[in-house]
Amino acid sequence: MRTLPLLSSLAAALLVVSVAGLAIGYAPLPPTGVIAGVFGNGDPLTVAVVREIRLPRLLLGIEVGAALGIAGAALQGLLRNPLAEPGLIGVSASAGLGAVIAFYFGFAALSPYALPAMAMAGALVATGIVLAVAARDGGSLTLILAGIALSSLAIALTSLAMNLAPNPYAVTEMLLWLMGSLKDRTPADALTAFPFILAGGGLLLATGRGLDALTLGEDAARSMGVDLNRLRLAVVGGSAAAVGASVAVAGSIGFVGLVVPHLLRPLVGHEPGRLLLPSALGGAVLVTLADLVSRLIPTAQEVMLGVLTSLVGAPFFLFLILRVRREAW
Amino acid sequence: MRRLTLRLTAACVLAAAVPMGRADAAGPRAASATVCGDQYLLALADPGQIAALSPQAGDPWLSLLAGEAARHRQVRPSAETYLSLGVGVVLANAWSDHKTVELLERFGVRVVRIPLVERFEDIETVTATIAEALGHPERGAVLNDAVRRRLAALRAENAGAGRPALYLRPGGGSAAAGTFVDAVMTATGLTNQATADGRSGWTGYDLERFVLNPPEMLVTSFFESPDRSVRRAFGEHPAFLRRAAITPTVAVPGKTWVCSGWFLVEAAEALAGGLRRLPPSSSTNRGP
Repeated sequence: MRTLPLLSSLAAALLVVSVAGLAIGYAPLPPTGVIAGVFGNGDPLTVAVVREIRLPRLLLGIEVGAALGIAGAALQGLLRNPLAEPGLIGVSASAGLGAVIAFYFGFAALSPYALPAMAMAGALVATGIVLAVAARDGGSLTLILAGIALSSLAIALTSLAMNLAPNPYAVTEMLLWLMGSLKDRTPADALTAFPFILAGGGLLLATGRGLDALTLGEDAARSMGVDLNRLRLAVVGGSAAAVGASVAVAGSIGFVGLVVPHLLRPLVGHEPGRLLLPSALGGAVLVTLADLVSRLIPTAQEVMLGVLTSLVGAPFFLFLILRVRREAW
Repeated sequence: MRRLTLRLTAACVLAAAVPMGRADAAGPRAASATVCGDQYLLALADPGQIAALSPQAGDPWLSLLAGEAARHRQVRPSAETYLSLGVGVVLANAWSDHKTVELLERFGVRVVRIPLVERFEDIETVTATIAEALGHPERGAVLNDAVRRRLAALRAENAGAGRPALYLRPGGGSAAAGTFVDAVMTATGLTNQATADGRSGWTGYDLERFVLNPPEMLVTSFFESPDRSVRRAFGEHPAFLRRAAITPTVAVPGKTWVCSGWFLVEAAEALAGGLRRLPPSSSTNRGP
């Protein structure tokens, strides 16, 4: 499939899901009122609900989904491994650790950028470790085991940080950071994350040519003039910025970076460079859709966003592992 | 003033129950594993009886009698600790620490599981049970009488005068009929908005419905707590803050109704006091 029709289809899907995301909420609002409300016209209360509550939530969903989708695609391209996903290899959990330290120890109150900065630092350390492990042994098993170890350590340290804070709600708070949510997020949340996700995403988009060359092997890529160290730095830095900023405002939302690139890969001829932008759009569609479903499920408490993405992603992950193993054998 | 009332109630309970010249009345050594139990222990037991309080006993945001609690040891709940302290009675929540309390009972310790009750009548039963376990049933009766009198005075005053009000916690949590929050609101003469909305029990509001149907009055709690929590997103959202700022609000200290106990009368008095300070008629806040 050519890139432009694919991008157009994904953009159309995102538009449909976004309109649904604005139209459907806890309070029934007439569709015409919602449309007028987006532009600040009509009933002031409807305008308030649409612009202050639904729009920031939708925009943040698009940002977070795009960040996770493109980071997953870039990491898979760099590590040449379809199982590399920010959640599975410990990047999200490490970003969560940075965010929790900033949030519960008061650093977040000092500057609005302290929270994303600490989350990005956590993501940067984790991505660096994964890259170092993968450089020694690029096998799937090593990557996944290293990811499990890194995730477990980050979750344990997050729990310890909450206990030391001290935080009387440590258990429920852990769940919110581990499962992610977009509930009641503010325009400020969407604005805080945006520059980092944009910068990280831009950096990752620029790695397309290098990732394509890398599919032929490191030596071939080098002979084509690709600076591998620069490529690695760009993917690590871009992923850390995008994932760190999204975890800082929405918590850890798993499997988006795994499912989306995998579904789209056959449509771009298995070229990692061409997969980046579609994965960003696909991630935005998936997260926005999951957020919409989380609002529609009639439970007493809103279902966590990460629960829904995991319900889709975990069986998918299992299927992928079995297939990768079969191919390896 | 409320502080004085609180001290007077506790003093009356102890003075009425302890015979002159017998400062160390008989009673088993006791410990509390929960902030709810702490308030009972501090109100009903002799100071010498108290072996340990919960780690939250001294938290001024959660524990009503935090000042008094500072004079006592506060330990992390564990069977081993209580047994080493020679405790005969432990006050625990009915819904937690099951293994700890089972182990304590195997060692012959009497465990009073404090249930989450929702009505003042049931609180009287809990108070009586705990007082009996601590060896001071008469103090339970005195405390119940004092609470009953204070509640009767509040009901007679009717500070709420039937005005509708919505109870909210920072996470958007609310309470309708069948909860102790509703019992407190009703005691002051308020109409619970959550109940009027057709809800019952412990419930929650979402931002959209709050914006579209803003309450005439808010009764808030735990907003003053310094704890940082991602669960407070509702209460920190500008869509809520802007509307709350123009809504008549009574903030009831969270420590007065951190759970249901004799001290709920303190929440009711704080609520009535806040209602007295409000302007006579609340303005509507139907603005965006």
